[in-house]
Amino acid sequence: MITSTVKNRKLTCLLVTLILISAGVVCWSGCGDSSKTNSPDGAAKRDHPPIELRPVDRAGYDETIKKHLGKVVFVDFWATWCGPCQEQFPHTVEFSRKYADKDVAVISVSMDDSEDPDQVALVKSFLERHHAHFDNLLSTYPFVSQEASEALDLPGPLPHYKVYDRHGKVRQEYSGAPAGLEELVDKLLAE
Amino acid sequence: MIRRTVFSLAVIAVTSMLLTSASRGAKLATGAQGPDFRAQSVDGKEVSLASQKDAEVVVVCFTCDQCPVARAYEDRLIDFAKKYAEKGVKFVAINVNRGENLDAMKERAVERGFPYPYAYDESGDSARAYGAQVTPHLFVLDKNRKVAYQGAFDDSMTQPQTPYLANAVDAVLAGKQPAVTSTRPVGCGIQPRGN
Repeated sequence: MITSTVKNRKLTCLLVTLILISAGVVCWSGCGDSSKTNSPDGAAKRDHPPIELRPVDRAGYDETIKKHLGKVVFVDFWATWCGPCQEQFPHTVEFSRKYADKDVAVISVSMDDSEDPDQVALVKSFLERHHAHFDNLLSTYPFVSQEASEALDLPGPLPHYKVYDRHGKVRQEYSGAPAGLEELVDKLLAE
Repeated sequence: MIRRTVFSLAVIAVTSMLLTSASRGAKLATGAQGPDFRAQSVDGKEVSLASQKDAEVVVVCFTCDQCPVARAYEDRLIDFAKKYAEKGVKFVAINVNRGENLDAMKERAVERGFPYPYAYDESGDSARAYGAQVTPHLFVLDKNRKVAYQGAFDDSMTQPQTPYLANAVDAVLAGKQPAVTSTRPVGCGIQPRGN
């Protein structure tokens, strides 16, 4: 009898904690002023539009790059089945926040299976969890295919990153963590 | 002025060639000697390239337990290994990922019925020597253990149409060079110790 009382208390504590955490999460994303400007201070106060995931082929990808002409563009090619990609992704988000006020655009391209609704759902929830408030694209090419790699000019392994200058030209590519990214972006911004 | 333009064009041409070459970033060129490797098989024996001396062709497949892409290809690898064993092709699977271990590998090998040695190279040296980048990443070595093909098993995980590996091995068995000697390997990044 004593054991069940202790268990009940522990359960209640857990329940209360979960409620508090959920409330905290809801508050984080919903509270604060509705200003749409990306100001560096008070990240929690930003009111972001919902995370969008846009299926694209090469033409759609090029269109997205073109949309940002005049800015330095950082593209993160990743996949939900790629552990190192998931480890690196928060750095991409951090980078996008740090450079929010500069002429920098961030694009993520998921190489997951656009024909598999479960995988698409995984992609969406991953992006939401990581607050990926930038252009999020989803490759519509056959999953894990030469065609996908060729169409998007990827060497194969993920994660893969590309940095475009203000004129829409690829200036650097990385496989694995993009070391020296900020120095490069600062340099390209100054061009 | 003209010379500079010509030079720039040459640089662009060479760079484009290098960038579009399917073996971009490949450590071993086609025809290079396949490096020896040493790994511990799930059946307790040591596996090495040197010990495959009777094989007409050796296929070295860097793979692992946990990558969804590697897992999705297991059936194809198993079918391939069985079919080509009778043609004198020795298939060896090597796992170098630091987060994995021989016990789990043994379980998987038994569960899936791998008809080939599945070995763990704890050092990661084999992956570095071959320039293996993802799982699965395959290397075909001819009778002299020179690299005849490297890259993906086929052209698509969900809609395969071109069986690159089979085509390459068929060519080598017939004494010819494969029409395609290199493709982009797609899969989970390899994570060996010592990197």
